[in-house]
Formats: sequence, C-alpha cells, structure tokens
Amino acid sequence: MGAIKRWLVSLVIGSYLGSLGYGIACHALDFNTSAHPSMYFVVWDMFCGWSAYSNRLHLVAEGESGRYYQVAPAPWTSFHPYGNLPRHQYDPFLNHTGTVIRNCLEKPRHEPIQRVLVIEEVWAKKYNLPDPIWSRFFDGPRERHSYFQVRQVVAPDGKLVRKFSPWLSRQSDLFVSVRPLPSFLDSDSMKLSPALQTTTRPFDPSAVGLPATVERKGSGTLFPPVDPQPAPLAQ
Amino acid sequence: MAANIPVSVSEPPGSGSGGRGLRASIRDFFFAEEVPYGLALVRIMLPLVLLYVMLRRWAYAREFYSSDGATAPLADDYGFRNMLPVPSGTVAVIMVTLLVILLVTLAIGWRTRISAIGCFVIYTHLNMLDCLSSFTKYSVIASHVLLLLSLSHCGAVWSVDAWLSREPGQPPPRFAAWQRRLMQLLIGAIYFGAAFTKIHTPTFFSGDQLRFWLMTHINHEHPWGEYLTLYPVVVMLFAYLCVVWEILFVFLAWRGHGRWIMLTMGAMFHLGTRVFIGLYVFPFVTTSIYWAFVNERDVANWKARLARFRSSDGSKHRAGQGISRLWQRRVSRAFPAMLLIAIVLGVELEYRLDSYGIRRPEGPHELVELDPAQVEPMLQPAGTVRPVDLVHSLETGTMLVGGHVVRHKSSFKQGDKLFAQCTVIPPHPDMVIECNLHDADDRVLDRVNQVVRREAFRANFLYVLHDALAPGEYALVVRCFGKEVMRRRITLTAHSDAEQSADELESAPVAN
Repeated sequence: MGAIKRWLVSLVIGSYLGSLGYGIACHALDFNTSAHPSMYFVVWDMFCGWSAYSNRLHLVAEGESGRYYQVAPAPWTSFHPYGNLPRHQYDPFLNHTGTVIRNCLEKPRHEPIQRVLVIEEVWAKKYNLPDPIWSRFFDGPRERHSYFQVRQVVAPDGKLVRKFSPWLSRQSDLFVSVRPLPSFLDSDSMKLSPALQTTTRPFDPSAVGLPATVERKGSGTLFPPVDPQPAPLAQ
Repeated sequence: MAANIPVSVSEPPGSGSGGRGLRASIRDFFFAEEVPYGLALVRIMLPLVLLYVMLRRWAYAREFYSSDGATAPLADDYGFRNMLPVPSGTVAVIMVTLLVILLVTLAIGWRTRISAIGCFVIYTHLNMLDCLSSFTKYSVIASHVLLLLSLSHCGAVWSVDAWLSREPGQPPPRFAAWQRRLMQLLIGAIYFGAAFTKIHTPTFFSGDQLRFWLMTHINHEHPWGEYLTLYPVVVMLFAYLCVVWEILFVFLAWRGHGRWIMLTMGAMFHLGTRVFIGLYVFPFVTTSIYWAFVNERDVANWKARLARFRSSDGSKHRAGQGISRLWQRRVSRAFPAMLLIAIVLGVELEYRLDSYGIRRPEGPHELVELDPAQVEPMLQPAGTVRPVDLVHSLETGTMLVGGHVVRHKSSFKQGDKLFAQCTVIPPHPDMVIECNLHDADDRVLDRVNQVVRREAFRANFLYVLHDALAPGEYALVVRCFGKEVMRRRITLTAHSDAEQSADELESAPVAN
C-alpha cells in the first residue's frame, strides 16, 4: 500500500513538473504556446506585448433614428477590474465584444438599434505623462491627438458583420506599403438581414488599400472608408 | 499517507547530498517529513487575497460568469468554443457565494481539504469563463497553488481542523514535503519562464519597453513609474537585474543566504510592480506563496523568539486548552449547514440587489445617448500620423550610457559636449530627422539631419559648443517631414576660465 501510494505521488510529481517544464520549453522555443487553453496555465509570458500607443475601445450603438448611444460600460455597472478602466477595455483581440454588446443591449431600454460600431481610439503614450514630467521632457504645450479606427461593425444581436485591422497594425503596414493586406470579412457571403446589409459596404477585393470616400448616402450615416490614408513618404 | 512512506529524516531536506546518490537526494527533497507550517501559512494568506478579488466580483457574478450575462471564456480565444459549461445566472451566484465562503473556511482551516478542493474547482472554472475581468496570470498562479493545497495536509496545523482534532499536548503531525516542494518549484518555474519572455521581447534590455510600460495606464495609478521614465538608465539596469534574479531564483532560493536574498529581491520586485506599474493583486498573490519557503526550523526560531515575550501563565493556560467530543461533532456538522445558509442568503441578496436594474420602480436603465459631435470624429478617417506623434522626446545631456542620454542638462558652458537625443515612436517609417540649433531670435545657426530607419528608436546628435557660440539663450529644434515637432531651450554660459567677448567669436559650432 505504501509503495503504491509512493508511486502515485511520484507520478503526480513527475506529471506536474513535466507540465511546467513543457510549458517553459514551448515558450522558449515558441512552439505550441497557443495550441490549447491549458497552455495558458504553463506558459509564463507576462507583459510580452507592448506598444508606444495607448488605446481605448468605444462601443457605440447607432439607433434607427440616427442617434448614437454608449453601449459599454453598461448603465448599471461601474466595475473596474484592474484599475480605472471598465471591463470591455481588456479585450485586445476583440474576441468577446459581440457577447458584451448583446448583453448590454438586452437589458436596458433603447430604441431599435441598427448596428454597433467598435471604435478604437489611439494616442501616443507620451501624452499620458503628468505635467511635472511633461515639462521635464518638452518645452511646448501638450496637444494630445487621438486617432480613431472602426475595428468592428456588430449587429445588435452580437453577430460580427465587418472586421478591420487594428490602427497600429495598419500604420505598420502603411509605413512599408500603400497596399495593406486585406483583413476583413466578406459581408456579402454572410447571412445578414437585408436591413443590415444595406448598412455594410460590399466587399470588393480589387479596392483593398485604395483611397475611398466617406459614404453618406444609402443608410444616411457616416461610415468610415476602408483605408483612406496614403502612406507617409519617407524623406 | 505520508506516514507510510519510508523516508530518511536524518537530515533536513535540501541539506546536501553529502556523497549520497542523486536518487536519495531527490527522495529526501520531496519525501522528508515535516510539520506543514509553510503550507499552512500559504493556506492562510492566499485565500485572503483571493477573497478580496472575489468579493469585488460577487455582485457581478450574473454578468461575468453566467449565460444571463456576457461571459468571455478563455477557451474561445484559443478556438475551443463551448469547452466549459456556462452556468445559469442563479447557479453562477451560488458558485461565487460558495467560493467566497470556501475561501474563508480554507483560510481558517475548517474542513480544509474540502474547502481547498472546492476553491480550486470553482475558482478555476469561473475564472476561465471570464478572461476580460477575472482571468489573468495571477489567477493561474492561484489555481496552481489551490490545486497543490488541495493535495496537501495544509490544515494539519494552525487551523480549526487541528484545533478540533488534536489532543492537548499532542505534537503536530508530520507529512512528506512534496506539495511544498512543488509550490516552491512552481515559483521558480514562473520566474524562469518570465525571464524567457523578457529575453524574447525586443527592446526589453534597452529599457524602451519598460519605459513605455511605465507610461501605460491600464492598471492602477502609478505616479512613481511615470517619474522613473526620467531615468532610462536606471530602468535599463532594473531590466538586467530582473532577468538575472528570475533565472537565479530557482537555483538559489533553497537555503542559506541565497534563500533570503532571492526572497527579499522577489518581495522588492513585486513591491516595484505595485509602485511602478500599478499592479495591486499580483504582488500579494505571489508574495503570499513565498510562505512556502518557510520550514520547520524557521518556525522553531520564531517560536523561541516569541517565547521570550510570553508569560508562563499564558503557556499554562494554552496547554490546558481542549474541546469536548460533543463540540467537535457539532462544529463539524455545522459546515454543510453553514454553506447551505450562505447560498440561500447569497441568492436572495443578489436578487434584491437587482444587478441589471430590471426590477427598479422606475423601470430598466436606459442607454446613455452620446453627443453626435463626440461621435463624428470617431467615424472620420484616421488620417496619417502627425509628425509630432512620431517623435517621443528630445533630451539633452552631456553623456551617453547604454544608448541613453544621462546627466540631463539644459544649461551648458562653452566647450561642453551636448548630446541631443531624439527618441522616436514605433512604428515609424524611414525618415529624416533634423535637430537644428536656433539662436534667441529663432535664426537657424546650424542644421544637421540624420536618417532614422524604421527599426531605429533613437537619433543622437552631438554638438560641441565651443567658443563660436556666444553665451545666451538657444534652442534645439527637431523637424520631421518638414515640420517642427519639438523644441528645447538651452542656455549657454561662458567658460569660466575663458570669458571672452561674443564679438570676438567667429567660428561656427560643429555638430556631428
């Protein structure tokens, strides 16, 4: 009995240390780290990403009347999980915006919603510095400028309709090419209601990366073009 | 169980192989018997931290963890849809209430094994349902430790269970140390893996990444971190020190001076993440696991020190403590009853709180309408990046260390070398940056430029401020894409041993 228990304990120890070691090896070799959710338990990649820009997400619902509403944070909540930001800000890959939007539209009163825009706001982190430190770095006044980019168009039921690249990725692409890679869904092939389809621009692979104009006709709303800005010229 | 395992306890664990085989050393390391004081301390400390975490989320259980809310399962991020069952709203409230109660009972060591297993299962399940506001790396670490606690005899000492079961005067029980060893190795593995992350991360050792972390506002406020951005070389030194400590921890944290040095550095590191990055819970979770490094000898030393302050009367009183069998049974039976009552109260309270505001007398909440003027800029094309947003800072000083300007100054003497360092913001294109010298009337005295390739972070300009420049006010002006993006005033004073009339100076300043 004692020997069996000892073997079992040894097996547990071996398995546990083996899984920790496997995680470290995978992480070191950059292999299989995203193969399964359990890898999150053995890969220690804290603070692996970074950027020189701060970003925030705005979830804006567009009503049938043309009015705009704040979807998140929802009117009933003031929960800030890790600091001063509401929950929906901790979704860098926008994998869960649809669920958040559906829940936030289900509970409160509102007019019929046409669509929800997930808009990314980006600004340089240097503007986060407090005044005393700003004055140590810069003589001039602080003129913070935010860049906005629509990341997703979502139906009121949370279904993803259109998807766009993050602003930062697009900038990186634009700095090396005026024709960034296409990264959005073919909305024509999706099963959308006719009303919703009229609010989306048809997917045109030939137009990817070309300057486009703001469409104000059709749905009568502002809809951002795919990518109007040309790449800045290098001197 | 451990009592049946034949182990050598002639030497304290980890006291060296001393000529014995590796197998015997490993056996001693994992199976040497000890009183589980270290595990008991972890059992007390960690649940208290998690209690704070979960109490904050209790009122949002329906929203975060149920099908009546907006769950964000971690598995979805990995492409495994519906991997874990999502409970209904009421069940989620029951689970969170149960978890809160079990964390308390685990901390006090009441029905410790059941409490630990319950905490591990419920905590891990709930966290995996909400990767937006619950699941982070500290949750993962906590799950590991709860698992190990549930396999251990952490309730054998300093617990209600021990108080109920032990006869007065009976020595504390001893068990194999393997759970505590795994906990220690877990901490070492975490740091070792984290070191790999940093080694993999571009620009970590140049301090640039840390510097931008210090300016990031996604955690709690951290004004000291922002202040530290003024000292990039210090940040860079921290980066090296951190990686060296993380790699060495698993090798040195076992005994002697190495243990205290590594643990003290660890505590300082985690305190630093609190002060400089604004992490609140993570440092408490990790440092609460550091108690796993407390061994029997440490406790004996502490007890000896405490004994000096304890009166003999108090000792006699404690030695006489005991509890009748009747009360032992009553307290044991109270556990399921208490859980049941807590669940009923929790469900009722959550219903009355009406987290979504659906049953309010004035009706459900209304969506907040936004001002169209606020929305319109969000829908406009982003446009190109402003040149001013391609340049992070312009720093002036007299020395370069590790690629950073140090000895920052804005006042120079004739003959000084002035390093002007222009830090750029990635991503940026290949570009030309000018750093020109202007006089007090804004006339360009010298124009220098440099090609900054897309992968570069900095452009350095060296000005030798020799006698050609008269004492007075000047400005360094950075231009990018034909626009002025930054300006810093500098003051030039006469050289102390060569004060000359400005009219006599003719030669031009030299910039490299």
